[in-house]
Amino acid sequence: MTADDGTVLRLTDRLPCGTVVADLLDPAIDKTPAGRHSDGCRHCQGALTRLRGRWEPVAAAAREPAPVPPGLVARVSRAIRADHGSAHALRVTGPGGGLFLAPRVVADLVRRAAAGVADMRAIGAHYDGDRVRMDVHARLGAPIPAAAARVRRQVRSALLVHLGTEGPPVDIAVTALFVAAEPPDAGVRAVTG
Amino acid sequence: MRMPLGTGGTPPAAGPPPRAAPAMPDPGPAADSDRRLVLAARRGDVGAFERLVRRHTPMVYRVALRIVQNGADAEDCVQDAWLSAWRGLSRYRADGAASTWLYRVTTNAALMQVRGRRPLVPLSPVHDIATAEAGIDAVAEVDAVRRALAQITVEQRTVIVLREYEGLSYDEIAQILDLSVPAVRSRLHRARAELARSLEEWR
Repeated sequence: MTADDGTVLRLTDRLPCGTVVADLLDPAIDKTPAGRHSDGCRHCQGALTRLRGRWEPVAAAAREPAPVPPGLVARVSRAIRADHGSAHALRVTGPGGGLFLAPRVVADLVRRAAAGVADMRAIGAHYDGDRVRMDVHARLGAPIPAAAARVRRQVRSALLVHLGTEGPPVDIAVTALFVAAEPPDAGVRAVTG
Repeated sequence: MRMPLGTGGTPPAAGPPPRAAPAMPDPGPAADSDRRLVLAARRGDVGAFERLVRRHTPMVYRVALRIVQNGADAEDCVQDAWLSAWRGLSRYRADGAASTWLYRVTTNAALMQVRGRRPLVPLSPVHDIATAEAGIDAVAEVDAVRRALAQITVEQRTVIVLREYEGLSYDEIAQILDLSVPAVRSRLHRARAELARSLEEWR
């Protein structure tokens, strides 16, 4: 950090009084006493002031709000309710007996199947025993119905491979848009069964 | 007896000032209410658990976002954390603070999220209005903090988030991360030093 007089203070520096600057870091940030020597030492007090000032942007960053995205609480509630009961399991009949898939598994399969589709990012999926609802983010500028159709095709074909059935209908809810310049982060791991 | 969140603990003198949004409801009636809800949920009351979800998702999302540094991953993390909490209700200690338990499942979910993926993309600005009003220098500095936070290890970032962003005491962080208080002090010191050095590089 640079003081008004242009001098640079580094954590590895030793002050004229012998105190290493790094030893003042925690007292400066926690605003706790730095010890008998430092409490009465002008070198230490000066360094403490500069350290506190340098830390102020961290405090400012901490004050930034982080509002909960719309729909997140509802998705969590659905996931919990789905996890609570297995009454909504998907039944796949076949020779030799029934096969039951927990809602979370159905949602997971659907979400994974949709992960590679261009122009859409699957954010979460939920199976209620009848239909799958998938929340997605769509690329700004892309034809959304076409992208949604690609998602459904890909989901159907993946479920056909995994389950031997096309599975339940898939309702797609576009909950946000993203721009192409954004990093193609996966952001697609949410599964709510 | 456990200290309430955001107060007390070690060190006893002034810690970081309270942040814009309280980390958790104040102790007392709200904490008791949390405990009652958790115990009800443990008996199978989904509605009680959903009340916890509504009450604490702001904290869970805030912590997750700052640890994983990405909005979409943070949403995943929130779902994972709540499902983990739901499935782990039997492990909740009735004499413990529900908030500590929730911080623990949240940080665990966030750590698992980050450890299982590729390197971080720094968090983009979340609140353009707030930062724009703060002036260009402040915006740049906050942005520098954001980038510096993304550069340190996730273990270091976690203690920074819990201490500097959530305002928790050393004792609380030790309980949440299952570490000793000296271990928290040591990790926090290294994290702060690393963050301070990273901030210098952005100047």
